[in-house]
Amino acid sequence: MTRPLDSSNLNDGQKLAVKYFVVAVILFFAQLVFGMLAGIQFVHPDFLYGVLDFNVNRMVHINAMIVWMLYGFIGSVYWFLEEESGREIAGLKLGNLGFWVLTAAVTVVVAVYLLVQVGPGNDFTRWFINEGREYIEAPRWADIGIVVVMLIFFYNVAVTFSRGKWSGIAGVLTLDLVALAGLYLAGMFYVTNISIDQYWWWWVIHLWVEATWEVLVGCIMAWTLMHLLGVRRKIVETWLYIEVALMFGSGILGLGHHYFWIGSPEYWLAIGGFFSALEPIPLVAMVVHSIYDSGVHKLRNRNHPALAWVIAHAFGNFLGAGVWGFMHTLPQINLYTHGTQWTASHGHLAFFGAYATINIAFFYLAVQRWRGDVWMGANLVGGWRWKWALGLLSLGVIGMTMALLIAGYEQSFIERAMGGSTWSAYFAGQNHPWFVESMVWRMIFGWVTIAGFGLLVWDLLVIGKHEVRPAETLLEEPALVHG
Amino acid sequence: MVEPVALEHFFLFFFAAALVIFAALGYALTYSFARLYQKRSLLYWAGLAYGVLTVSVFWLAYLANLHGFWSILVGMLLVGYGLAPVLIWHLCVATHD
Repeated sequence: MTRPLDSSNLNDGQKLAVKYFVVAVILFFAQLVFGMLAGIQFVHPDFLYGVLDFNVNRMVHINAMIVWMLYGFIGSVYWFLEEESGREIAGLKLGNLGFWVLTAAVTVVVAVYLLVQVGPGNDFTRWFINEGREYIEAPRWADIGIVVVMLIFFYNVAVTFSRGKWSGIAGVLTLDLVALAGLYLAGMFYVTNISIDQYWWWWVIHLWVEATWEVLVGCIMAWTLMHLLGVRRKIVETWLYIEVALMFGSGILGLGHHYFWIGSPEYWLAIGGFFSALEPIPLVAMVVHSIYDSGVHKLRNRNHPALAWVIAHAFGNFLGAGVWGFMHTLPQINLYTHGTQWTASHGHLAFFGAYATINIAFFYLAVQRWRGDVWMGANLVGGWRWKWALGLLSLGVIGMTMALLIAGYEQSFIERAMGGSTWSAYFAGQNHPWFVESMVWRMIFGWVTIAGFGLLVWDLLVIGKHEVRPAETLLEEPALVHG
Repeated sequence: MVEPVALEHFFLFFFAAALVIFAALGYALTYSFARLYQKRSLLYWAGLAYGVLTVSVFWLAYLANLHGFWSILVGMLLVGYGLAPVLIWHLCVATHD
């Protein structure tokens, strides 16, 4: 007997969410493929030279990552919207239209990236080909489309909650979606002064990703913990407020660590350094709270793969954002490390730990429901697959992170500190054996990551198919006897 | 203007910065487990981790050339990190009641 993926198990919001999840997984694959192509070009610079250049591969690699994570978050919110608000989703047709518009826009933008790799830097290029700003290269028409789709998303969420039940999660989420659409506008205008231009560009890169996304993840995590572990609503909502306060308290002015070397006033060195030192506090809170929770729940849950990915999220976030971030965030050392492979090392682990993991955890929650709330606990049929997928993906990303760390250390030491950032020092750094060997190791671990991804997709397609047991029912959590 | 890390302190700086975070993690972990299992011995380990944190923080401050007002701020941050797990634990207990 098998249990097929049956959409009659889903409400309308969840059916829309599934579409977002499917595109998220496809874009996740695109991220890995283009990352591998760029990784190969570090080792074999002639590979695809003139056909698919390194700058294009790197751009698609990073853009695909940003977009697949965004698709995952949007899908997660649509997934819980009806259950959280207690009513049907408002503006479903508009939400579906938003999905197709966004997906069509992403497809066209990537196709243009690949077909028009070189051209003049004029207004036509800016509007229709490539805006030219690192990480947010999408042309202006697509920028406008992204903002419109974010506003549709906001409308769906805000109106559904306003017609149904409001909750702490609903309030934080709705306000965050205003910021999600609003902050993107900071990357949609130009000024001729490069320092001022970079100042606003960082609002999108840092505040969009490190503030609004973090809050979005906080809301998704709050809902996830209630349904995965049976945590009481009052607790998750109280902690959502605490985490948001801690995150904003340290993270908003932590933006200053991006202003060190762009020509901003000198006081940013002090502000950026100080608030960056505060940024690990929410992570310490997360550690203490997770130990408290493990004592309360004894890790009893209704979806083992999802919980494993949530735990990977806690570790990955702590190491990637906390340790890897703090090691090079103070201006005294950042003078040498910024823009080297150090940054790439931090970026790989932080994005994986903070965002990829929580999206994957949610995919498992979604698949469980899609198969009709099937058992995903102990002795799961074919349970080796999710464990190996988790292991290979984590090993791959950690391996790449370590390889990039060594390359970044070598670069910042030889190219920056010893060579004084000259042109010849740049090449001395790029040709040093530590750098070259690190790039080979990065490529090897990239293949490990792709193997993990393949296993993950296979698992998501078949997990629970041969299970006949229903999902475990959780009792509401008890309080800790001794505190 | 900040005074950059000296060339000979390069590796030590990264090491000290990583040690700060790992020692803070060790302190938070051992303190939380001590409270969870009511084991006094773990509190000694928490004290040891905090000691390592203190040494690594001042070592980092020295390597980063943080003098004067900045060393006072470093001391205040250290005290803050010492109190953080205690306060967060109390918050956990209060919010779960």
